[in-house]
Amino acid sequence: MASQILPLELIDRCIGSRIWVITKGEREFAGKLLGFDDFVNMVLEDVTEYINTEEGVKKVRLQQTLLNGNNICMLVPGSNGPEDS
Amino acid sequence: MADLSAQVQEPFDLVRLSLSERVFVKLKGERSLVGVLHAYDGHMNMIMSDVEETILMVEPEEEANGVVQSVKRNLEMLFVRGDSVILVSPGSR
Repeated sequence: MASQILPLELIDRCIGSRIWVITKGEREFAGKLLGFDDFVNMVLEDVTEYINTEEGVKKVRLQQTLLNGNNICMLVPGSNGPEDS
Repeated sequence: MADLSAQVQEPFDLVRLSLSERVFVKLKGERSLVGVLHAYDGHMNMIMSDVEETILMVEPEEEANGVVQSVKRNLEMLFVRGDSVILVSPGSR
C-alpha cells in the first residue's frame, strides 16, 4: 500500500493527454485535459460533447471548456471517447 | 469472513481490504460498475481497472410491460468521482 497511487494523482498524470469524461446525466465529453482543481472542475480543449438522447447520440464541437465538477461521474484517461475502439 | 470484524474497524477498512480485488460499485443515475479496485481516497474517488459499466434503463409500457434494459460497456482504466458513489461491495456479482 506504500506505493499506492492516489486517484487525483492519476488524473494529474493525464494533463496534456486525451481524456473521456462521463457525467452523471446523459452526456460525455472527450478532449485534451489542460487542468483541474480540488473539486475536479476540469479545463478541456478541443472537445467533442456527446449527448445521449432517445433519437441517438448528438455530437457538439467545443473549444476551450470549463467543465463543472459537480456533474462528473467518471474519467477515463488516455481515451478518445465513446467512439474510440 | 469470520475474522472480518477484527480487521474492519471503520467503513474505509472494508474498502481498504478490497484493494486489488474485484468490487461492485453502485453509482447515482442507475449506473453500476464491476472491476478491480486500485486506489481510493477520503472522498471515495476511486481508480478501477478492467471495468464493466452497466446502465439500467426502464421502458415503461412498451413491449412486455416495463422491461428493464441494460447497456453495458467495458473500460480498461478509469477514475470514479466519489460523490456519485452510492455503495461499494467486495466481490463482483
